[in-house]
Amino acid sequence: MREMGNFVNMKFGEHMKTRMLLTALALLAVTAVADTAEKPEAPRFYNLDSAKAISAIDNRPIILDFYADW
Amino acid sequence: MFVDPKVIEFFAKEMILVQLNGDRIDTALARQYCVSGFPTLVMMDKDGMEIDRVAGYLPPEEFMLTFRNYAMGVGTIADMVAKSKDSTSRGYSLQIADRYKYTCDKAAAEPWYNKVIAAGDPLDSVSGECRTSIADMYARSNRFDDAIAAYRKIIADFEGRQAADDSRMEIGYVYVRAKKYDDAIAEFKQIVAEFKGKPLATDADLNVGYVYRTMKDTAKAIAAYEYWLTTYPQADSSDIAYAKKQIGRLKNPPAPKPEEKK
Repeated sequence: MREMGNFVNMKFGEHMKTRMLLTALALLAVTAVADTAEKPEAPRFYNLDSAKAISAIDNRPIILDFYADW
Repeated sequence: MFVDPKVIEFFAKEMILVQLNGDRIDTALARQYCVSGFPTLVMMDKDGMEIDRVAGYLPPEEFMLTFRNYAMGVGTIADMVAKSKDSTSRGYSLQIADRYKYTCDKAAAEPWYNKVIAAGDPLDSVSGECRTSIADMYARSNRFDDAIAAYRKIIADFEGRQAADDSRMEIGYVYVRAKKYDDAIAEFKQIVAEFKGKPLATDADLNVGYVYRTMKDTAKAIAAYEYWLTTYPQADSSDIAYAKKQIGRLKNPPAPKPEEKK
């Protein structure tokens, strides 16, 4: 029982850590937009792994926007 | 950059946007996803599997509708191919071919283009468009010799028509893709000489600056754009703005965005 309890707590703790990390990443992305853009822009990531982590939680599809700054 | 309020809301609530500089920074990912032009938007599910993609620009409403439909499996290539069994339309087959051309399965486009050609006059404008698209598909697949041979054949078969003029210019672009810059400049200069006084010559001469810029020969690129501005003062205003913008960027290169510094 003790082991099971620890397992549950560990999973819960990790889940919370993941949520906090993802929230921080999302805030960072939004802050980056606010800092660099004169006009409001879409919230975005620059890292595919971060996007995949968010997508796995809320089930939203990912759109990779490959651009060139010509 | 997405600034339309509805598109901003779309990305905030329905999708996760990842912006990748496929030209300078995220080049490995661009290769992995077979990106052959910009912008290319690839939609993926939560497991990282590609659902479908959009190459080029779309108006905001069409942009959102396309991706909402993709999320439901509507309008994807797989969906279009399944529905094509009930269609004899050349236009529908052409749409499927054009969609395949920008995917990792570029070769799948060719049979669809050939189907369009076979269903009509092989020398009409639609067939000409298919022939240039096949050549373009070769170029995007790095089959440069095949692309140039295909364009040369179009020039012979469609002499004096749009497909031939387009192919003249495209040969120059293929040489750029192949990094054969001297050949590209020679091709564009040849067009300038042959089509003197015509819009094609104006466009070809503008491309000389583009070749030098791609070669990262800043001094020659600036000189080429300045020459073009003085030689073609009556050119299209958007082209004039483009040339001036390129000179500005060459003289004062934009600093990378903070978030791009990896």
